[in-house]
Amino acid sequence: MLIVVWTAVTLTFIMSRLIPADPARLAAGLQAGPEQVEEVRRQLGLDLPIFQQYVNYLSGIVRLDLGKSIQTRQPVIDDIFRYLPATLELVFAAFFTFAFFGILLGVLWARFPRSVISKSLSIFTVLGVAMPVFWIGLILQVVFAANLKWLPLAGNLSYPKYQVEFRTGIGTIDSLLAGNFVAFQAAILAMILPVTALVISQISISMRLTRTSMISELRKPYIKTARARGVKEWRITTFDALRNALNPVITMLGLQFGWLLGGTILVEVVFSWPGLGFYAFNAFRTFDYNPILAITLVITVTFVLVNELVSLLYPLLDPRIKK
Amino acid sequence: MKLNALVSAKRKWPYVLLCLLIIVVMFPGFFATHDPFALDVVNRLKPPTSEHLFGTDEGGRDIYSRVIYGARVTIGSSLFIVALAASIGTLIGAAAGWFGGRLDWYLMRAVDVFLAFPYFVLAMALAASIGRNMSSSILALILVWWPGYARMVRGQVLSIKNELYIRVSKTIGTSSRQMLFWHVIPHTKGAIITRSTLDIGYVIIVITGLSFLGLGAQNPSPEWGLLIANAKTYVLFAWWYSFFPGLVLVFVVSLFVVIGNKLSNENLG
Repeated sequence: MLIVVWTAVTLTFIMSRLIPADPARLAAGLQAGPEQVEEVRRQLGLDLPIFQQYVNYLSGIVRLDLGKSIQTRQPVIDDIFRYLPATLELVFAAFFTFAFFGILLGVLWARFPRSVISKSLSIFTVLGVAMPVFWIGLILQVVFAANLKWLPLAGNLSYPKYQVEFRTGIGTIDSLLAGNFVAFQAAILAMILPVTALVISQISISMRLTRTSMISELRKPYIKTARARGVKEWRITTFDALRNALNPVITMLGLQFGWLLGGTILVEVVFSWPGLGFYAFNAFRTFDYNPILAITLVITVTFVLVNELVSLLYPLLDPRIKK
Repeated sequence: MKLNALVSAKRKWPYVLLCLLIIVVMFPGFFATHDPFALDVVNRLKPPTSEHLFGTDEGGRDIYSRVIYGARVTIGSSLFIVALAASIGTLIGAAAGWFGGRLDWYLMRAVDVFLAFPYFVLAMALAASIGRNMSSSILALILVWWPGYARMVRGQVLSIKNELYIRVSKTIGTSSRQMLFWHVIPHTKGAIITRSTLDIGYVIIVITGLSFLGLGAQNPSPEWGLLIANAKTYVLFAWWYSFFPGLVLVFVVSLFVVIGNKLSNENLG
């Protein structure tokens, strides 16, 4: 795990040196003369040998110093802490929603293979993986915000409008902390469309896997034994088969968490949601490289940590797997 | 006899559509009704009519014709990415599995590292640092996509390695390199083709995503992701602008997914 984090750091360093533009030139600004650019280059340590730069970069990361953003003129790490909570709000809401419904629908699909539900689900899963998440987002905007006007078009909780204090950066939690239920309702409404877009784009995969895993579990002899002993069908499905079928699903959910972090970037751009993706998008447009590398690093480390957590979950579900 | 033909025709429809798609990619001029780059400011943002099937965009350009020409950019580049990633991955994976030992260890650790990243984020960061244009996105995606093939082919080669015909071939004195290219790699073909077909669909989604973020194709290219990105500004009053390009995209990707699933079912028996 540490090796992966280290390679992620090294890879971002290599990427930062691949950049076609001169970072000193960018940091000094457009009006700077050649002497000023050289001055900035010395300040940023870009005139040192490449190995020395690499060591400086590593020690910077240990001290949580990721450089400055050209666009916001603030240390990148401060920006990350400002934008990360809003991203996590979306990611976790979407993750738990699609994990729950994915498993539920997958089980129903496996249990009732000839029903209308399962037929529509099998069509939906093909379309679900084929739809790009940003397009789903735009279509949801067209239908529910532009035409039906049920839900807000873009943005998250508007802090000044509802006079909520910015504490965690998570709209729902901040409004609850302030005891402002009107704001809480607004925060939830703002989340519905972006979360739905993420859920639609990810749910097919977990649903399909749950179904396959459940079907192979339901064919096993112990299920037959349980039926012969007269155990109720819903008990067999939920307690016996599902528990054993969950292991591959959990692995997949861990991977999907990582894809969700990528997908949020697109969804945040569509919905102007002030999270890491929105920050990254603005950084792309202004050739602001420090934030891009920092975001890559943060997302990769989160992804690695989540997968590590998932592997700790296995023994709880299946006692045969021990560390 | 007639019934059989009908059933097999029903099974063949994805391939028929695929052929049609290839013709569209190769000869967009036959299908487009307008010049995809011709500006017509008087008719900007007009809803679909019989004249403009998918409506017009902010420059009055015909969206239908842009989608048709965009197929070449989007599908063509995805084909190119998958072809290169599959070839590189196959060579590396086959070398690792066949020769084994230290080479295998180093190559597979490199593969592990790439697979440990969330692929979209890695592709995004690479595309952003190489430069914001279509060729850098293509390069970034090849870099992200080959390790999956390497791991798969290595597994296949390991299982083929001990087959009887390989041992027979060894006893009659075939050189190691000859065996690898004549007997081993051709046997991984089925799995590679199946996976590539599915991957073309997934690569289309990712590359349009990069273009949507402004990292891939640049204006006035009719690339599909870029079309949808441009449509984002007009989402409140021009639904057709984002709807139709996306609909075609979903159709094309699901076609590749359906064919990929069919192939993998046939491979499994």
